[in-house]
Amino acid sequence: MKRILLLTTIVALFLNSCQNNLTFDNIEIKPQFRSIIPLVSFKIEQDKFYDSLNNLPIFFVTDTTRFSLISEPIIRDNLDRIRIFSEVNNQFDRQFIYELVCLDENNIETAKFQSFPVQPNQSDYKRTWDLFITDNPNFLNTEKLVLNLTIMQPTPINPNEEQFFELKSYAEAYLSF
Amino acid sequence: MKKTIFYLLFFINYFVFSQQQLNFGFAESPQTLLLNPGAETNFNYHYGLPFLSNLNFDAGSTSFNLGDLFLDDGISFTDKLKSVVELSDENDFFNINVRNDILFGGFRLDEKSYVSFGFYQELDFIFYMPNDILELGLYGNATSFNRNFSFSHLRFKATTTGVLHAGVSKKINKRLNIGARAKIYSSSANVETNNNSGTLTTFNNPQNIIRQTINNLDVDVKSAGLFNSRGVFLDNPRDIYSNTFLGGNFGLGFDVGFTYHFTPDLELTASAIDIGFIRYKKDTRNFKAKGNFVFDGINFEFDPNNPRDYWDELEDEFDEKVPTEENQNAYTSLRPLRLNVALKYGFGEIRPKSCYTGTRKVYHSNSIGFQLHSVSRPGDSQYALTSFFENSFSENFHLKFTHTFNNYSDAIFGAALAFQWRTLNFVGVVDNISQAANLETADTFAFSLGINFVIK
Repeated sequence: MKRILLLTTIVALFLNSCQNNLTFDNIEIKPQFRSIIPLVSFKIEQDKFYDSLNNLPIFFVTDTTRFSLISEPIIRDNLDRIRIFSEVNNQFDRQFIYELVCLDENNIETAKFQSFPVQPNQSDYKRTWDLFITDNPNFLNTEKLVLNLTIMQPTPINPNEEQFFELKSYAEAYLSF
Repeated sequence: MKKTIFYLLFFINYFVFSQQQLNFGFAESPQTLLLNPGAETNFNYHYGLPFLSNLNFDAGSTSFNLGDLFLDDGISFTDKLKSVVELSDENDFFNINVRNDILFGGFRLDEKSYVSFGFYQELDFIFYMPNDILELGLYGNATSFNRNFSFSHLRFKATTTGVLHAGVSKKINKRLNIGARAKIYSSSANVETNNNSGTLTTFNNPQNIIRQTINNLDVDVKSAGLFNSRGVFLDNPRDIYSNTFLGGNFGLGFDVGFTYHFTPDLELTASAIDIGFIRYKKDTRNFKAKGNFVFDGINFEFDPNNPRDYWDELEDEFDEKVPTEENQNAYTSLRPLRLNVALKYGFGEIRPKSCYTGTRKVYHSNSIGFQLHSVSRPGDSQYALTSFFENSFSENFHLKFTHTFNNYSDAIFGAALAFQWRTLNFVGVVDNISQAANLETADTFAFSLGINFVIK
């Protein structure tokens, strides 16, 4: 180490007059960037709205998964805002509402993204949500995702008539380091 | 303090660009033996001033200069880095080479043979601009639909080495002098990656609006000496530099070279330096990732009879399709091979000078010539072509003026000075003189010196 310091001193003396316009303070890389990832999707058909064992119509379906992306340190420490885009193709002659619910590890809600009613046979429904971390810091504790789909009119769906409700979505994360 | 030293070293290393090749074949100084073991010598003994017998710093960048990143102009470092990335492509690089002799000496074995030996430390670092990866990190992928971010841009190599060497320069006849030098390398640290492949792409897809894919990923990063045996990262330069003498990762190599006089006026010199390898097996830590993956997000099934944890399944699928591995396998790394060739024509006044044998020989007061220098790198080899004019004011005072074009610039002007006062032999080189007063805009800069004592 002494040798390196010696070299440093010699060369620094030589260079001393040449570096006045340079600064080595604040050498920090602080990018602000936007990253997009596919989020959730599904295509649900008519048979999911009928309980064939009990011969009962179904008006509400739900599914849950663990989702630990938000709790990754690089996301949790730097996320400013998240924007979720969703597209729906509803081929049923029913009105639906869908919602994406975020939960923490204790199943306490950290955020909820709910659609307006999707009209019967509406094939081009789009909905975008923005969530700012400053307003919703609990979102960073998200560990699970729940997707709920509700039929607004309580009239049974014919399980033999081929129809579907399709949702696609992606998320855009705004990060500042 | 550590941080300060690091930045200072980085700063110094960056723009003190020593054209080692300017010393090549210059003034029969002892340092020339390290660039060409077949160089002619004209002394009976020499010993270097410890730590100052041969200092060489070498750094340069093909796409940016110091001012682009460090100018004190109120612009944030991040914005400057973005500008640099914008101006760069994956073939741009910056490299650093720092070399200092700890010990250097030599003696005449007989009338025809001169033996030299010593130990030097070397830091060698080259980093190719991984533009795709940098842009991904600086901007994200939101604005880069359909763009293939390539992992092949990831290429770098850094090595700290101690080199124990001994060589002999032997006069075969009046025309030919040959030489060779054996080297034992002892590397304290190395990190390198090359020949990576794979792309990360985001694009529109009917499955779920967008799809992300990893295609043909094959990334392999090897390292040694950066973590201790307990797996702790060594962030103190002292830990790395203190281990270059017989530190545990050994290698072997050799240099060869010759000097040939076609006529008394026309001389050809050539050398190959660092034909060798280092075998890393101590404190190694390597990382590998390989595979393909398609990501469409989470696809819910809504099947209460068969509940699934989609995220866990995705993680498992990713681990299966893109397996990553950390291991401590030994590996071999080739040394960067340096080639030097020079053709020199002497003219002007013919003067006598004394020889180590006590006899006299003649030399020209002036000479001109060309020299070619190349060094093998993880990417393409780097080349430098130098034309030079040498003037000897006396037997003991020599000047050399050069013009070099290389990967960094096509207008690098340099000067070298060598003189002998009694037994003191001094060689100094400054290159890229035209930008010496304004180093923040220099692509390269050169500085080297050597202080030895020679006895005829």
